[in-house]
Amino acid sequence: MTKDPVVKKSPNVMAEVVVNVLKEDGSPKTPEELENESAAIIADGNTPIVHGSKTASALLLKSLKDEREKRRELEEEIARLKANPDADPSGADAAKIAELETQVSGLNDIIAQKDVVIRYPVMKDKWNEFEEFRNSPDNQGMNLNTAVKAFLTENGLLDPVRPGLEKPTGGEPAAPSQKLTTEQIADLRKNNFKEYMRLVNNGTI
Amino acid sequence: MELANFAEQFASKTLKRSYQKGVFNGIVNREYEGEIKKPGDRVNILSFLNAGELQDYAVGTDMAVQRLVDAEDQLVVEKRKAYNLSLDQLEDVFTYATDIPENLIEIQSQALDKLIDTYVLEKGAQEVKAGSWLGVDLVVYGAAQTMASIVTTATGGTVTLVMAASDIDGATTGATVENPRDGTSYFGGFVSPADLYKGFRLRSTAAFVSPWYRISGITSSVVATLTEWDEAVSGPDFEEGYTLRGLFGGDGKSFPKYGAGDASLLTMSGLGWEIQAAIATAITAATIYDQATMLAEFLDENEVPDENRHLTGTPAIKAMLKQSSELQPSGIVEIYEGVVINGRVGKIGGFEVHSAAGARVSTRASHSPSSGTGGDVVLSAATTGNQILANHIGFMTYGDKWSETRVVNAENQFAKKYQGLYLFGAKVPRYRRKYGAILFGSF
Repeated sequence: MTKDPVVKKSPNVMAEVVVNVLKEDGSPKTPEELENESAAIIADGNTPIVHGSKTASALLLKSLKDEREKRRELEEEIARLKANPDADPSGADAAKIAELETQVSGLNDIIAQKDVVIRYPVMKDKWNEFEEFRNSPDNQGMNLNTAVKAFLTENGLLDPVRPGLEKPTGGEPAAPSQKLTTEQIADLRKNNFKEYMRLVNNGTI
Repeated sequence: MELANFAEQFASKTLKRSYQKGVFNGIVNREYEGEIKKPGDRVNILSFLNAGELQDYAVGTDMAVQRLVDAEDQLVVEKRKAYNLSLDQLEDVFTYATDIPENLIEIQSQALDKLIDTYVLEKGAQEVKAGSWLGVDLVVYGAAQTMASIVTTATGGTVTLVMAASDIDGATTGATVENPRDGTSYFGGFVSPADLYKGFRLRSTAAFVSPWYRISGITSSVVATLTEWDEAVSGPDFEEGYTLRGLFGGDGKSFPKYGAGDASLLTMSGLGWEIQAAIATAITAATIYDQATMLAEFLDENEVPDENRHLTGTPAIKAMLKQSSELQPSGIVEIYEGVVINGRVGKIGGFEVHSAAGARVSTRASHSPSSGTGGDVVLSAATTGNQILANHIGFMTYGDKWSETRVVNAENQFAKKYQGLYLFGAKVPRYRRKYGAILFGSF
């Protein structure tokens, strides 16, 4: 049976290090083992993942919906397990509940990040800077949305895009239609025979 | 197709076919100024008469101003040809075919381009520069008696042939002379219209002649009017007081002003005379290439550009070109394959060769052979020669207009008629006469 991997946050960057929650023999890892494994991956210098950066813009919303659906399922599972504590004398469900709550927490982070990227696409490339901004002493504890707006404002990314000068509308005129009416042909024949002759020779008339 | 469109469609399709199939459209230019609106209209063709000049420049000295001498020749739209076709089943034509039947266009356009080709080629033959005709010259040697004399006039000159006393019988003059060129005896006077527009010159010896003058009119068998080839009567190359060039003689190519100190030909005695290409020469597979190169030489001597030269002859020309390529491999002849445009059938001697079918190539009678003298002179039937035009595209300007095109109800029938009016005209500007040459020959 496969289980969803644990999503751990690296301490300084609002990014994720993906770690599998099961050992090779299928038994669950302890929280300490998960923590140590995450720290080791981060210490190796792996590039943190910015959720939403690899997803095409057109598919971001769909993936956000998928994440929310996954979170809802996990929350239902947690609620179900919590609703009947007497059915678990060994305490295995408690471990599972903790694990599920960890996953839900991770999913909440993913959803929040994708939500920000959807609303402010410029954040896709600015996430690392935003994490530094959010973790600075002056900004710690700020609500995510508030922090995003503060970051965008400070960096002038919320300013309305100035349209600039209008594109020039001159240039080559549209080519006239090649099809001439009978009246136009007659007019050419009577008043501009050289042009009429040219069009006869090239097959236009 | 609606009935309303028939008139315009007929005009445009017939014109297009004629422009493609007719020879004329490949050998004329349309460089005129103005718009043709109705029959008789005149449009202008601009020509510059004097050659370009450069002058030595000296510091501190004013430069002389070269005046550009231009002339406007006028093209007169002199021809008007009409269609008046009964189409009593016109609607049936449209339901039977979705467009004007091709064979209707074909036969109508054939009639049109035959008309135009004949007109253009005839006009070209009349306008070629005197001295650019290739045929058998009629030569009358001078003797103790002067055989011809020229008197200058305001428009050029008048030549009078001098007859021996034995050639005069009352009011009748006539002579039979043996032509040293072919050994045949010919009438020793002017023949109209055989000699009209050809070149005439006075001759002292083979190396001392006058320039070729244009026979502009034939008054009688012994009197003709002459003009310069370009109808000029004055200019920097005219001797003072004379209205014809080169009256002090030259070697046939060079005519120094005032000659080499001799008296003018006007007062010289013992002169003979020549008519250029008076008799048609034979054109065969063995001679066509040489004749084409001689035509090219005429154009070269007049500094006509090498490109865009055309030679228009009868279909026999095409056969001779093929035969000529076998006889003279060095004279490579290319025969076009595929779709024929403007009658092009090949190339020879720098010319694009066009084949004009039917009687489009103009003909004229040669100078008449004769026997007897005075009142006993008897003229014989002369051979007919084709006037094969060799020209640069700048030689002749052509203007046309399909002036009217309409479908009307027939007056006394329940039928319809198509009526169309086509106007055209052509002009060889005087200065451009040197852009053409004629091979006067028979097959």
